[in-house]
Amino acid sequence: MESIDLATMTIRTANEVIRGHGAAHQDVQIFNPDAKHYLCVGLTNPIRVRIRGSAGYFCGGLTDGPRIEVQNNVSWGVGDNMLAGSIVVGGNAGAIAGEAMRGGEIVIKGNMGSRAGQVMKKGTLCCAGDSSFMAGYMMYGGRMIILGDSGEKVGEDMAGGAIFVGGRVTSLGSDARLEAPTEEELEEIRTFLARHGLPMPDRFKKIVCAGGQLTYPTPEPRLRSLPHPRFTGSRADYWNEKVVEDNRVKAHIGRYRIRGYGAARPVPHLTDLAFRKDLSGAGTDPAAIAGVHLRTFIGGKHGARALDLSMPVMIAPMSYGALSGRMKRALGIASRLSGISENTGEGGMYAYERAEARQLIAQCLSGRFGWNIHDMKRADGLELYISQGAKPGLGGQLMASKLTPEIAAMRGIPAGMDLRSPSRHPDVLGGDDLIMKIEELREAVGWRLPVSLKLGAGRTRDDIKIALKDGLDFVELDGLQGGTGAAGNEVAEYVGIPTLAALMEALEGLEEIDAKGQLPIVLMGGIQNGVDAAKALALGADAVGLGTAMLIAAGCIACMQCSVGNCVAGLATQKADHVARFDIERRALSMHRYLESIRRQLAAITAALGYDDVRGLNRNDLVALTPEAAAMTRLPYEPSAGQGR
Amino acid sequence: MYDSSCDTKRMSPACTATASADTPDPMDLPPCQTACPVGTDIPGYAALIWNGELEAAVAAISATNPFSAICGRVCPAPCESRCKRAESDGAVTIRQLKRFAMDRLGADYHLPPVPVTRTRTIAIVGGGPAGLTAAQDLAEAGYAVHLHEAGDRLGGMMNAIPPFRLPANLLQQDIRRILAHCPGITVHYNSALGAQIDLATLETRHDAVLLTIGLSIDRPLTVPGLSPETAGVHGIRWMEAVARGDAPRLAGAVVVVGGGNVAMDMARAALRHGAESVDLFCLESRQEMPAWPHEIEQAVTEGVTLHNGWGPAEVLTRDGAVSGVVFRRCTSVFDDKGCFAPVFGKETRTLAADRLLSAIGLEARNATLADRGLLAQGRVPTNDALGRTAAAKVFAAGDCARGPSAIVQAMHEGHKAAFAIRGFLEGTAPESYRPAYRSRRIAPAPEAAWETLAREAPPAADAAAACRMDAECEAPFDPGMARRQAARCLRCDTETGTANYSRRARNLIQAMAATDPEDTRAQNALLRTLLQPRENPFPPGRPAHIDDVVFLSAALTRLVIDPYREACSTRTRITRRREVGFTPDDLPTLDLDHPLLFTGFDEAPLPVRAALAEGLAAAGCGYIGRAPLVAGTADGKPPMPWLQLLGAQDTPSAAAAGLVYLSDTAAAPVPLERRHPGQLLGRRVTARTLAAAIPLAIDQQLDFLLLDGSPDIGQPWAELNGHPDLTVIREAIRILRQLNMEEEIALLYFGGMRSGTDAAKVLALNCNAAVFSVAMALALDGRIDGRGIHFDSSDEAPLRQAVAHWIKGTSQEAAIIARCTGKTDVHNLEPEDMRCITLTTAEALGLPLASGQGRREWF
Repeated sequence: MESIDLATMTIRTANEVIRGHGAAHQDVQIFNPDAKHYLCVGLTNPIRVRIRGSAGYFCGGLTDGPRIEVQNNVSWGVGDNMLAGSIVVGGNAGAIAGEAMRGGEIVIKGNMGSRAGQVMKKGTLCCAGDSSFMAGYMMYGGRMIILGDSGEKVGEDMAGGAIFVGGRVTSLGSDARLEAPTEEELEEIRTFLARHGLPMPDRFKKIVCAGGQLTYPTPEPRLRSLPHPRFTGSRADYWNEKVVEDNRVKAHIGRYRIRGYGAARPVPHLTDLAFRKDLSGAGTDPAAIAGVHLRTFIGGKHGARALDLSMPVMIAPMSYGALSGRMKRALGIASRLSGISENTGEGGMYAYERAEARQLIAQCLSGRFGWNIHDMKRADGLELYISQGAKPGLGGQLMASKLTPEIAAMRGIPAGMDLRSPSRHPDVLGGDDLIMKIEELREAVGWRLPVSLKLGAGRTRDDIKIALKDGLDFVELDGLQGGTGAAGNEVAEYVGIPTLAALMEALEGLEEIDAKGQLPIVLMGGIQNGVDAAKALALGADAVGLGTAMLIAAGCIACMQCSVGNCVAGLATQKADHVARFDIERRALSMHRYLESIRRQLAAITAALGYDDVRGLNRNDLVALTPEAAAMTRLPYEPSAGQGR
Repeated sequence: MYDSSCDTKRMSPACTATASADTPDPMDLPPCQTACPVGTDIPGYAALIWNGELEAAVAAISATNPFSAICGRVCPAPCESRCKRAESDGAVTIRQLKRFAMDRLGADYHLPPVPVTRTRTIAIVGGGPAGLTAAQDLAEAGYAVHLHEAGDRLGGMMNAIPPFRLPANLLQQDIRRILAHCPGITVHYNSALGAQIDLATLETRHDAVLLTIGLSIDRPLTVPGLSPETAGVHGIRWMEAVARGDAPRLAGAVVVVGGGNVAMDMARAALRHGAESVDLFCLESRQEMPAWPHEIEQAVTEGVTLHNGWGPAEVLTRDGAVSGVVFRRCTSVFDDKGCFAPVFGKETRTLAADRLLSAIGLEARNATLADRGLLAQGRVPTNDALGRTAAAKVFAAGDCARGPSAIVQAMHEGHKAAFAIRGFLEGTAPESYRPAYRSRRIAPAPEAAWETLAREAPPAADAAAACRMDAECEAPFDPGMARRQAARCLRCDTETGTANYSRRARNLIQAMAATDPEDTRAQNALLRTLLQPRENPFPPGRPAHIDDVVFLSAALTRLVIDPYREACSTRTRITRRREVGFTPDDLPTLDLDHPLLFTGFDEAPLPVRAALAEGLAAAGCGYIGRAPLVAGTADGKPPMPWLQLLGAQDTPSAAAAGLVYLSDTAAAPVPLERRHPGQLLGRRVTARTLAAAIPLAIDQQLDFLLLDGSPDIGQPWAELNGHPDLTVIREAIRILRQLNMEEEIALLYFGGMRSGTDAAKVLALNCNAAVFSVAMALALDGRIDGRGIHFDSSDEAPLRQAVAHWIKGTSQEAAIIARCTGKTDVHNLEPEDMRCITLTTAEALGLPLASGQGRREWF
């Protein structure tokens, strides 16, 4: 057994050394752990690790296979997202023990803190002592055994799995109920406890999901969306048809309406800006266009391998689940052909997409669906989702019609529920936790990959400062117009600030702390072409993200019924016969041509403005065409600019 | 209350809409319409068919297509190949839908007649599709048209379409329709150019002459062994005879030479006309064949044997009759430039045959035109795209000018010729032509299954019928089928619900996705289009709108709320003192489960009032009105909390939980008389009265103010009478703040509340509850009728459920907004949670814009 003395080694080095021993199948013991964080994070070899003392945050997190023994206590998030192996803690565990675990077993000989097993999906979390409040919070599967008492709201909003409590159940959580454990279950528990030398209590209470909130009742009536001029714009009536329809539908279903896409009404946007210079000659000088430098590296700020983009454009995160497998695959191909990055979105990494995309960002969301160490290692960037433009402050939504057994299995959750992902990460409550989480992710992949943040626009002026201080490599900033596969209409429409305002707030926030240019910003939400992109870059964005526009390039007709799951074009559906309508190669080439048109537009505008590098674009190239755009950007108001150009 | 009939209700205004003006920008057009040579409003007529408005559908179809019945049968439907749905699960069956509408409306239907209004006249030579289309256009413009037809019937090449594809009467129907619609067209039958009339006469007699003589002469086959006796039969002549019913019957093995549509028709007609077998030989490969794919498929299905890549080399004869044909392998048909230049190999084959039919091309012949230099190589040469010829007044169009094409293309030619002639006569001298694209803007069919419905082929005629010459090979749609197929239209012509991805924006993205990056011209055209500014969505003069307010979401600075579920407190207390955690017991107080109050139903039908009263009581919401909705229970109190609206003449009721004085006079005090100690006292204030009323209310220790942003809460359905005045909230808060009395009085807001989001906004502006009126009426199936609302439903149970559902949904909307901002109680929403996206609204509400406030130096 090899020894590591943490009194003389940084945790970063220690984790490298542990992984090295893992590769050589050498067991390890760790002295002077001193409650340091991230011990053994990202370890994927089935070695034994003995920690002679206490461990800090995320001990054994993001692992697959090791058998870890902690002599004393652990802090929060022990065994976070583990896939297999075991962790035995001799003393107590802090909050969210076994959060998002997806296999293996965790045994805590003492007590455990609140929200243990939050969003866990598989495996066994066992606590020999008492558990604090909300054990099994939003758990989707797996088994929790509490030999002592459970705190309040045990099983709150659980969707699957079972919690066995040997002691007192203080109170049941929302949508949880008691049922009698079977003999078979008790026998399995008895074997488990015997293996760990723990006593079998006289009786167990079993807590499971009551199932009252897994799906929405009365389905929303299927209507084709009203044409927007009938309810938006200055000519629409106050009590227009959409108001009538919304109120009638609400009276029918008894809840808010759900739809796809982002904000539908017009908001001030990049289209309300113009270039100061007459660009009517743009594109006419092929040599100038060919000479424009567009290649962009992003994400190398903290020493990770930066993403290498052939132009400052990324594909926005969109999940396999919201989109069909074929569409994800086509996105992977298009991103590769155009030399830009693709993003998994929620729900895990789709193998075909990984195979097709050259650069793929893996996104980590609150529910940790499909999140695992192996896909993290296969990724080219890691991204923590805090919120998105279409539904900031809430989690993802995937209606039962699209949560097929295959997608549910990939996500590790029960099929056929109207999935409403948690709105908050179990382990990121605020800015300080965020630092810890990001470091854990970095540790898990040996600091090799950029770590970014997906942020819906709102209190951006201040949020961006926290993002900077928390050591992110870049931020994907998503404005009000950012799309989604399913969101409440009211939230999509009225929560968040327009993309244009979001960028200004971010830039000015950074300026306020004299950090101009120190945190790259990828702007998304309603960017449709190279002209929009050039304006965003000129204002100060480092790159742009394309989501909805990619779908349209692939044949989306903007019916806004992505949530229903019947997508006529086969791109936002999981119905086999509809998915079959989607021709991967043809659509991938369409998206590729679309991206190449953007490349040409960016180059043509850059050249016409007299630069040979897209980074030459700047605020002085822009004017505002409307009073709103002028006020929001503080650009000069020149309403006649751009007319007739 | 939602019921499916509201789908059709919302259709009505759009259905009566007529065609709007030409849409000049291709980015605003659906692909099917631009693909149609005559620019038919296809999505429009599909929607009208779904609606069952067949007459309007036919008007839309025949607006630019005088041969609608024929096109319903034989159009190659270029629209269908461009249909966006073709890229996923099959194009919309556009041609069949057209046929359905025409068939249903019947033979006698025609557009209303148009009179001759001009003195100048035009001669048209040739009564085929191009000539007749031009004639109709010119007649519609008021010109008298003299149409000279060489034969004894109009229709030109259309007369050669075999009856199994096109029943003979349909051509006559379409022609009758044209002539009934255009009395200004005079037809001269048996009036051949060079025989009965000459060109010079026409030039003298008329102000313009249009040549649409078509290509009516079959190119002869020239192969060794052919003699006048064995030359077989040629395409068009034979087809015309077949269509007339006077072609001699065939027998034995028939060989057809040719790969175009005429050859396909001949082969299929031969099968029906006595041939024991039909073998079709053509030079081209199957992909290269000029015939339309579906025509080829039908021929093969019916039993025609296809031999691609063979050219006739020799005709074998026995006893002066054809006994066989020798074919030589054709290795390539076109040269590098795509010109017809067949290359033959050595391989040959011989097929025994009893008859030889050929259709290898058509040409025009006319001595008069040839003499005038107006005919060359079997065509009438034109000087420009508009069809001007070498002779000053003479135009040419259609097949004789452009070569053989589909009927729909000939109609395009006819439209263009009419356009050119009008330009010539009216002195506008146009340079180019494109069809006028009109859209009727019909609302999309509210068919729930539109995404899943499959393309259906009409039932094929049964085998026995199929071999008859006069039996149509395609059966028509039945009405159900037609409706399903019409519902499949993606409606690329209409906007969807998103202004940010408008039809134009989507078309631009898809144009980018379809344009080769190396195509400099197309790329530059796209770039120029993209650089055009959009129309300002917030033009000057647009009033402040509550929709311009957005909420700031929690992310990092504010903590995101856990759990995800909609849990958020909506409990609401209306009372005078609003300090946190302290409410003296002796103050009048009204507790509600939701921050929602309702008003305006005093005059509503009893079932509506009863349902509302019960619904409000069950949900824990209150009502504001002159009367308590329903008669009180045993203790005289209505089931739900009632705030009594009091005009000058009204008497306060002890049954009311509170009293609201409407008094319009700013300085008039409220009588401080409570009918019971727990009764709340309040008054209505408006933007006009609040400056004086608020200090007085504070002075009088009123419990609440009802901020009236509507024209007048005392009037029925006041919200329908004008935009809500949002400044009343801003001013009330400003005055209260000045008095340092912000927490001393409860505020209720009325005016323009439509949703939980609207309620959240007024709560965030510091009001305690939002008062709804019209929105609830809509939820109860009320119909807005001018400035009033009509209720159709009288069944109380569903109305009660609608009240419950609506309150639950609306309260949930407010709650979820609060949660997004990081609040666990809707009453914790604050002005700082909001920003505006327009200057006028920012001004009206006293809120900042979403960005642009400048650097915060103090940070």
